[in-house]
Amino acid sequence: MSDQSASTPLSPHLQIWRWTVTLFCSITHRATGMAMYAGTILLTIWLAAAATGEAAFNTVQGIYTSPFGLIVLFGYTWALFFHLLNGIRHFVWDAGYGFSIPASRGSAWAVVGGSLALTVAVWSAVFMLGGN
Amino acid sequence: MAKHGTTHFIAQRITALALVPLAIWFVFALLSHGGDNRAELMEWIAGHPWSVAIPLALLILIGFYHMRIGMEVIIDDYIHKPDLRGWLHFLNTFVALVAGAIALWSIIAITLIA
Repeated sequence: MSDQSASTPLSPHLQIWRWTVTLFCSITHRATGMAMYAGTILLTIWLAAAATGEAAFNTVQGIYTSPFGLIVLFGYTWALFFHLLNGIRHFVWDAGYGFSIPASRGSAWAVVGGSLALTVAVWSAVFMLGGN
Repeated sequence: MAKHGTTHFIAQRITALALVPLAIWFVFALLSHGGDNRAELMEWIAGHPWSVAIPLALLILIGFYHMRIGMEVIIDDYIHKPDLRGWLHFLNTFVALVAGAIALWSIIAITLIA
């Protein structure tokens, strides 16, 4: 970093901040965004396999519906709901509301709880529908 | 995208807004079609161009665009070596473009084959 121009600001490192739920949501918004980058490549592979042929599709579907695959898809579902709900929280901020400490803390907990509840609801439906 | 902050901010929000209904639709669609065999999946996509194939293509293309600009911000924030930063920006754009193109090609192929 010694060659870095003095004009580029650097963020303080994560470990110096006291943990808060708002901090958690901020970091997790980025982490879930990055996770979905990978997850959407999995979706692309699924579609490409279907376009390619029976053998390719069955291989991919077999991996995705294996226990490991289902855990990844469960994680992808939660990442999607978290990023979706926290994204809506960002829209509320963009509109100029919800900046007080109690409001931002409350909405952060709502995002954490809501994303977990929606993920469990979707996967309960998956297993009740007897899908994969 | 450094020095294009306002354009970036607006593009991020417009794509985010479009992705809200598309993502919700897709999660619920997968409840019925996530476990499809190939014939069922292809019939579902090809048989419903307006209500499945096009929303699916929009979801993936807008999604990759949104992810590319999101990842650009992350690279700018955390990668301080100019060479590595430039390389990762290229890789980010390359992956998003190639994956988006493969997904679009797949949806078109499925629609034509089925």
